[in-house]
Amino acid sequence: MKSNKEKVYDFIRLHDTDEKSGGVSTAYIAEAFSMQRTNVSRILNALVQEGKIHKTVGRPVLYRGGSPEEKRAEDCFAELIGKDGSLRHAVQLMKAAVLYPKKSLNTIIVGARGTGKRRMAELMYQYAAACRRLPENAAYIQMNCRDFSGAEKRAEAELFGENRNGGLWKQAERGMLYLDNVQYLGGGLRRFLAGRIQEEGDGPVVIISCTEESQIAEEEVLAKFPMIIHLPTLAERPITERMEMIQSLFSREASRIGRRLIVKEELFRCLLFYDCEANYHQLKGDIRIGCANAYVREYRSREDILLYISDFEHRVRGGLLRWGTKSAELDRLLPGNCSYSFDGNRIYVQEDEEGNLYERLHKKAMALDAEGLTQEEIYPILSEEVERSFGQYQKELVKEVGNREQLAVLVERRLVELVDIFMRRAETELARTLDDNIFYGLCLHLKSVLSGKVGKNFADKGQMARFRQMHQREYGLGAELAERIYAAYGTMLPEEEIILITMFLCYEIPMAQQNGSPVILFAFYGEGIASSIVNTIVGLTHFENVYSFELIYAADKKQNYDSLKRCISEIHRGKGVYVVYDGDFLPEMLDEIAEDTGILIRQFPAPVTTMGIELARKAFSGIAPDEAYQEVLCGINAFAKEHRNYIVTLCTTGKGGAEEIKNYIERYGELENIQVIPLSMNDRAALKEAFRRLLRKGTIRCVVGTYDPKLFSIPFCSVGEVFRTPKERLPALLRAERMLKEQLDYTAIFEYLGQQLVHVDIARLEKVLLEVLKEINKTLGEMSLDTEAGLLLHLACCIDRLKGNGVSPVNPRKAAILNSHGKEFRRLLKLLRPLEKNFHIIINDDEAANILAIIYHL
Amino acid sequence: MERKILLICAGGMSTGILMKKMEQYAAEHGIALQVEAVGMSAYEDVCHQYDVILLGPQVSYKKAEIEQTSQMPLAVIAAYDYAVGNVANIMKQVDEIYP
Repeated sequence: MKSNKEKVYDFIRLHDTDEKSGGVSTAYIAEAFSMQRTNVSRILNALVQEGKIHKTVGRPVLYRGGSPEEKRAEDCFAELIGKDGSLRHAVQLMKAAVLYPKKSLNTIIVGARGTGKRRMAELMYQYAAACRRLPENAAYIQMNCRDFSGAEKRAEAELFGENRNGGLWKQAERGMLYLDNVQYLGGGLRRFLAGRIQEEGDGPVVIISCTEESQIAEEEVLAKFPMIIHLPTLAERPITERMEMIQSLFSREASRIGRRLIVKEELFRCLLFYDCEANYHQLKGDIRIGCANAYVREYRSREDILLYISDFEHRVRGGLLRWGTKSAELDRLLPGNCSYSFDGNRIYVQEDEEGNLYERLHKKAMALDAEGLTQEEIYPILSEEVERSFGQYQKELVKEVGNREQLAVLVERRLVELVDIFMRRAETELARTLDDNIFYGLCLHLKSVLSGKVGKNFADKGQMARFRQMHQREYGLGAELAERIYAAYGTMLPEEEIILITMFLCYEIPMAQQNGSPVILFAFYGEGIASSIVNTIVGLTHFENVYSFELIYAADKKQNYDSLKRCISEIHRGKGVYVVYDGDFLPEMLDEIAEDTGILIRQFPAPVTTMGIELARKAFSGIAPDEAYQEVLCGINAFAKEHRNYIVTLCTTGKGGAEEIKNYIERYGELENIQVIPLSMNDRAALKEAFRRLLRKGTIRCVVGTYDPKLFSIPFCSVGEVFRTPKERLPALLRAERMLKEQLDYTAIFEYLGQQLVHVDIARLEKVLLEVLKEINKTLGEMSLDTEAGLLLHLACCIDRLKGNGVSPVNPRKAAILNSHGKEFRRLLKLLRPLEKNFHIIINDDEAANILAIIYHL
Repeated sequence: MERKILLICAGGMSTGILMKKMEQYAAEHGIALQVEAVGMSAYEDVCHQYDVILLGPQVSYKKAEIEQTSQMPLAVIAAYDYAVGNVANIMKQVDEIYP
């Protein structure tokens, strides 16, 4: 899928060929794509910054693409996946090397097997040719040094000719020479090569490639290659790029075979996640093998070819085991129940026929079974499917309903009341608060059941039994509701329906996506003010997470409210919205929107207009200049209220319990500048209101209570956890260090470890070690950020040393530690077992004592 | 002027990889630096040969104790910097305690 940016760019290039017009205007583009003008101008600014398009001086401002030459040069990268993503930096460096004054820079391309080094070198040549940095018909000569591994004399003859006066070097003159896998070239020959390189003159521009930078050690060689370009491995690149690669490879295969290829979602996921040792190259090879197998199977028929997982190499199936690791992101990329077909030109997404939940599951199970997958492989797919299908159904149901008034229009009062009573009963029984969405969803679902709209279900008996087993309490409640329905309406609900009702209680729709980051919104009065600010910010930072909203003076409050709410819902990416605003009644409006939508909103007042009006008025009022200044200043300061920090304690049984928790954490929690507020949880609406009042004055750092109220995305700590945690570690718990830890950049950490450690497989280390740390946090109590980051490195180094047969450091206090923390010691050994198993090492008592000392600060 | 830094962690291993990175950084930036990494059990004998002590975050709870025994300028490396080997930031910390 093309991004808006790409679409706009293509559009401009298509339309600016008309010489008379001289370009296209923002308004024209906005209309053509029915996009908001502000968004279009943000994209245009970014494109101008990148040098891809130019804007005219004068009004109206028109945009047009670069000169034909610039276009041709840009076209070199048109097909390169990741040119604006993970390869952006590499492409920039390469352009810089080509455009270097007088003569392009000699370049080293470093990248693991199959990362596209050769492609990059070819692009460098094409780009240089398009930019006219090489003469017309300049040579491009390649040599793969691996073919000459160990044959120094032959390599030399090939490269420089028998008398060192010809060979490929001579052929490449005034052009480019690319030496692939230069690590296979002997040091002597490399030095000789370096000696021949001239910074100016007719000698070729030389590109060499190797898999690791350290393979080229000779100073005199390095001195001749000022530019080093690193290419990321497939695993390091974003999953979206892998997705694009898969799509483009299938399209290519489809046009080669001349038939349409159909790929089911499962296969797509496998290809997205299996371990591709040789990177893109391997992905390409594996897809080709899969398509070839399918073709052989189907070559007699003339129909579309459906690809099976079994057509592919066995390793591809490994992707199944990584199922669900990146679920939220995936759902966006690969909507469920779809097939994708490729005919070489475009990609078609087809939703598989609907059917009801059970039918769909049953079909899916049968299909997977037919492919020869084992029960263990099928089960996780199915249970994820249940959750997803159900989630979709529920979302679909409540899409139109945001509050009780709207519900009352759709569902008769008797039913609403019946469900309402049931919900309260369920909340007590399950001892947790249930989201309003569950309430709305149940009402609407039952309405359609009672009106006979839901067809007969074909449930799998085994599945139903398993579900009942797993959710006994919820199922009991579901059965109870069915009885009430029978009493009130005389309709007997079948077993499948009871299970469906139960599901409402089991699966909550997540309020927000887990991924994503906060976005920033400027809400100002006056035409174009907010968007100008945003354009400036985006222009300076290139961050595309800043948005604008124009408040309209003439509009009434309701209109402004509705359009602001819509805007916030649209720009929200799952982690909240910072609103910088100007306007007196915005705070209340934003509070209301936060409550209506469940989106976390944080406010920054910027009362420029108010200040301006005040100053203007004061300036005319005849009071002394400095007095007016002081008064207005005080007015502004009143806006910037002191920000407070709170911890809320909650207890279902009433305020007494909450008071007790408060006393405990005030005593041991080392709470500086944090006020503890005990609240009762009996009335949810009142609780919400109390939270809102606090949020207006400051931040609620966390909620400590018997149950998570799930309000305003505030971190929650259970009372059990608080009392279980050793007193000295309570402050860390309450500071919500878990949130701080979320800021640790694991990619960077393991990259660092990858550079330093020699004996371990870093990808596996990342997977296993993070899992172990999570378990330690869970079982032995939450570690502080310091401890966890330190322990992570300690364990990584420890594994590396043990794998390299290094000696364990002796812990002189081992006996004492074992004595005082025997129980914890044994638990730790169990927690560390996955490390031993995965890396084939033995963690002895000295090592374990060291680890325990770190965790428990001994 | 050459700076001498002693890194301390539990076993001297994870500071060991940081040591390598710091040496590399010093070479690249032309800084005169002598770095050594030791475990908790070994620092007392050698610490006085150095100008400053840096602690890995996992042994930050030993800060007071080490300060007491060594009587030397000392800092705990920030967790974010330690975890990725951000030497530039770590050197800033050194500048603060040993200008």
